Amino acid sequence: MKIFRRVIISLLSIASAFLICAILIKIQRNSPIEVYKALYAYGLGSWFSLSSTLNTATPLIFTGVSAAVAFASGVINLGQHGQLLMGAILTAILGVYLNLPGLIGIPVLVVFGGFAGALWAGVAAVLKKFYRMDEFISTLMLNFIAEYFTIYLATYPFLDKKAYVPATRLIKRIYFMPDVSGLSLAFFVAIFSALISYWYIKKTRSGYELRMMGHNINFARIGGCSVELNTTLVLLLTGFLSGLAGGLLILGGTQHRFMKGIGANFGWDGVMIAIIANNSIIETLFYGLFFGALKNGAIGMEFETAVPSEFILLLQAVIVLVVVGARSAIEYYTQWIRSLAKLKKVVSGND
Amino acid sequence: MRKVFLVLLIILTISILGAPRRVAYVINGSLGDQSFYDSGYSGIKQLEKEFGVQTRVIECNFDPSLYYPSLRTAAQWADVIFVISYGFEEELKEIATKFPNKIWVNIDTVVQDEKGIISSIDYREEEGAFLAGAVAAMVTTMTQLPGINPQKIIGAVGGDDDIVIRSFVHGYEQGAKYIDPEIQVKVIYVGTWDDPAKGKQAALQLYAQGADVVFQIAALTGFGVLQAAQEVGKYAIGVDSNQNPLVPGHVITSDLKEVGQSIYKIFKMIIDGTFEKGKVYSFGVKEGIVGLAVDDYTKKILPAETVDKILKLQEMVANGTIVVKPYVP
Amino acid sequence: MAFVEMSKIYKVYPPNVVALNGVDLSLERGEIHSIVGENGAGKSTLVRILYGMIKPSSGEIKIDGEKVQISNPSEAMKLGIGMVHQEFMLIPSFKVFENIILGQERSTLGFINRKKAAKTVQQIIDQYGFGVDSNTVVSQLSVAAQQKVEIIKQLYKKAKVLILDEPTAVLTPQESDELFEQITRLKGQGKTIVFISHKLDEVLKISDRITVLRKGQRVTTLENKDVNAIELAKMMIGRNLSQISKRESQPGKEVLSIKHLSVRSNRTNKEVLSNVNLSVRAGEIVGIAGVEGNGQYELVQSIVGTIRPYSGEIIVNDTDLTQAPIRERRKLICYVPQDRKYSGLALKATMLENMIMTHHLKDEFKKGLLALDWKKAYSYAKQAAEQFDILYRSLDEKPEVLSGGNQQKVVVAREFSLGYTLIVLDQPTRGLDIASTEYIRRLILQMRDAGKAILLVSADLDELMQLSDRLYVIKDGKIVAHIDPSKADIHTIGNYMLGVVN
Repeated sequence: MKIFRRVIISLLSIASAFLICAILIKIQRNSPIEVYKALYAYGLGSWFSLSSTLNTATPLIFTGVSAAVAFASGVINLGQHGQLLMGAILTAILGVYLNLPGLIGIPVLVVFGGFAGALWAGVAAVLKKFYRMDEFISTLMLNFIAEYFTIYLATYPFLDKKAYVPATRLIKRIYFMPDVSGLSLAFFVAIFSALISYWYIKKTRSGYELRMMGHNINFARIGGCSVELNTTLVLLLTGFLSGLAGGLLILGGTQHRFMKGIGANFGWDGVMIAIIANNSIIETLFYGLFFGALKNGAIGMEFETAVPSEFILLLQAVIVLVVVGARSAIEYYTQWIRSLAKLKKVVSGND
Repeated sequence: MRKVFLVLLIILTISILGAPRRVAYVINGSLGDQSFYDSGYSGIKQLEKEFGVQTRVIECNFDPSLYYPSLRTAAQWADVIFVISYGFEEELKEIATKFPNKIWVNIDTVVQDEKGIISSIDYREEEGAFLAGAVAAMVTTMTQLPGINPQKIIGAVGGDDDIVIRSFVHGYEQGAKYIDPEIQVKVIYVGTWDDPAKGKQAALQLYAQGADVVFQIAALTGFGVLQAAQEVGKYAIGVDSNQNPLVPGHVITSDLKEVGQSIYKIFKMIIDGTFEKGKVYSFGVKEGIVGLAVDDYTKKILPAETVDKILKLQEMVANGTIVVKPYVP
Repeated sequence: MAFVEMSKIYKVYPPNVVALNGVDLSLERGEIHSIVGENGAGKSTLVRILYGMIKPSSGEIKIDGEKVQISNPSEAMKLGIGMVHQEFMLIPSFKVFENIILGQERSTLGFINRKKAAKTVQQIIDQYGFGVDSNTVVSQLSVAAQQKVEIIKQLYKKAKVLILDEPTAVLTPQESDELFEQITRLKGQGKTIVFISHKLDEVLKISDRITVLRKGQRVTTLENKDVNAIELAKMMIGRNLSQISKRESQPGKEVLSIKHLSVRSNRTNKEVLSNVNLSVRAGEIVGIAGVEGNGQYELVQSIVGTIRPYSGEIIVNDTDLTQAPIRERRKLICYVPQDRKYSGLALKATMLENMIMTHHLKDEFKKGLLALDWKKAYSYAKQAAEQFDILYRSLDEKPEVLSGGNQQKVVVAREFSLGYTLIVLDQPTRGLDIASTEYIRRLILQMRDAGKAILLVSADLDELMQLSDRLYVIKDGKIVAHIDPSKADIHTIGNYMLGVVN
């Protein structure tokens, strides 16, 4: 029943966001139907569109799940961006120099990417444990360090002299992630990681402790949960997930090398998705796919209708506002209506 | 009336011959830089006007995750695709191979695939930069101009530290030394293409170090260089488009790279049937694609004899009297 | 005609908590009108509606026969209604008169004539005989004097109705007496006083009329002379208080032993517990009495492990826990914390998740290497919820929708079913209605009879007297007395608490 309600709320919110944006399109003298048709056609409409969407959604799912797990545990890890970059750069560098057969090399490189992310988040964990520094600030600041550090690596020591932009050399061909007619295996890794995370947080004893920390840290501490250890664990785990996103971006993306800007906005989009999803992993998965479809469909939409693809950013923003707003608004108004009904009952009961 | 008829005739021939009707312009960055990307865009608009083709511009806004889907969608939609492909050469090759019947024109860098599908427009930017360096060197020694100090220092602000920018700098230095071997050239690479605030900061730093003229080679970031020149009463040289009017009295000249012109030129060849797939088209001062913008704004700043000297230099580069050495990484 | 007339006031807090159910209240000029009732009876809600802090769901308010809408406190002020809250709203670094004129400055051309203002304020102070100097800085005043400043502030604003919300809660008996004198004087000047309290003796001492509320409904309004304390209490709780009887305790072996325990405050580095020695044996309830803030909290926290003592030993079942982490301690100790919302429950998690806390450390709920046996957890939680009479709809429900009493039962059910010999209770019945309180007290006795060792910290002396087999009194972090409650009376204990005797 509860799940049903949540699905309904989400769908209604998305629908109303689309409606609001339809009005804006209309004001701009374009046809909303054409725009949405193109969005659908290029986002989901064909196997090519669908597979591109799933590929686009892959890093979003990782960073989204990373943020969702962290937030649900009351750990404010905002360092997905930096952790992703660190994962990406390590994988990119090892992918050039490491000599392993592809079958072993690919998983090894992916895991190394994850470790790089975990290690980077681990810096925040160390700062928290020994210097009581809030992870909210430290992860945020570590993003900047990672950003410039990786650009430095790609511009100077590991620069591909033949590249036109700061970039490392192409990784070995054997490490390119295989795909199933255009759909990268990285997507399946993402789904698998999300499901594992879901199981961990929902079913395990440690996951239970994490969630209770997220609800009320004093309750968890008094109840005997290892709060400090768990916080470290969450940082490492969510850092690992973001690092995986980076590693897979190199192996499974289209660049196969680290280049400036490769992290795009995946980190922050992930945080946004986790917030819309109310830190639920399954919803994060859904919104990751949904936003992937929007991002991917936007380009085709621009070709077909000449509506600029920036419009999608607007649509995204409206969706975020409506979904998050609707959640509390619906809660508020159902309670308000229930209180009115109760009042009526009490008043009539007295007469 | 005759002209209209001619245009109609051209359009008709094109459609009968199955000539291109849809043109896409896919860029790694974003429009609005008033130089490089915008210059190409003006060419695209010209195609629309003159040949009646449908055009679309896809801006990737420096987001690598958009490169592949953008190209792929462009390939589905358009007949001719002009690409500014910094950083996505691999993707370009991959998709061009999948869509070999489309016409692929890569701009500003040379991308060559095994099957010879992609053509490239390569600019001899070192030639324009040479001229810019010569102008800068002349100006920094003209202490009679307001704001010029006796130090023989000129500067340049680059976007990224990459091959194209290095070849600009290479030409710029050659030009400066051609005028006066004692000239010192200071370069700052800011590492971003769309942040005027950082460009301004870098330029201010160069001016503070004694440079009188700063050459901007940083797209939108470079707009801050022009602003900085105005703020401290010094001089700047624009890039790609004619930026002289943007900050009148402080932008001496602009090192033009007429991306739009070259797009137009190539498209005309496609219509004429003289276009060759897989070829590298090299454009420089001689072809009138690269060169300095010398206009009334320039003449207001510099005395007439200096302007003449500049134009003469430009001619010497065009006719081969002066050979500018290209940058070899 | 009554001065203030509130009729048929309803208040439903979303989603469905009925705080006021058609309450009438009428106030005359120059009377002291007390409102009494249990926690949650609706006293505060009712007066806050009058003061414009809360909007009623329905009902009307008339002043001098005229219908009024009071939507915020400043409108209430304009109608001559003033309120003194339990928490004072004074600026400590300001002088008395500055605090009083704050927000009501009378200025000429934007300048405040401070001398004149101080004089006007002093006149009011003298007129009502408050005995406060208008030029003193507020931070130097005692709590009682600060309360007076609050009252003066309302008078300065020309309040005709003065609402006092539990004013004596922060006062000593002598200070309370002084307050009553002043209230009586104000009444003499024609002011109307609304006095809220749950201390029945005070109410009977000063009121002209008394309104009794129970569960959001008005039971009655009566003249003071018509009633006595026992009748009033009966009206408040709706039935006679039943007596909890207890058997003689049969203490067994020592379960908790605290030796030379000393704790320093992290902030001030002052000793908050010094050289505390106590022991609790199986099958007995040991009470800790004391004025709040004398080290009880630190004592409990050191046992549970959130505070590290700097010297001494804490031994439970022969295991030295002095340096053990909380997790290890919770494998030996059942613990009901004093604030269920702060650390007793996760209000937004499910009932099941709340019930399984600490139990999840037990081997019986492990499944495989990492997983928790949710099926087993569910059947345990269901059985415990039934055993402890928790009123709930489903284990997926969130505790935030439960009443306070049921929330506390969730905590108690969880902790008691852990089954460890040592039970530490910190204010186990605070803020609960009488029925829940009684229920929990009976449970505590049952646990004792089942052989548990129980340490009970409570601010409620009656509770301590009723339940404890032995009683320690704590003052300034030291144990000052060890008493057999069956042989002592409440006044002796009070004297120890206040440090009157040594």
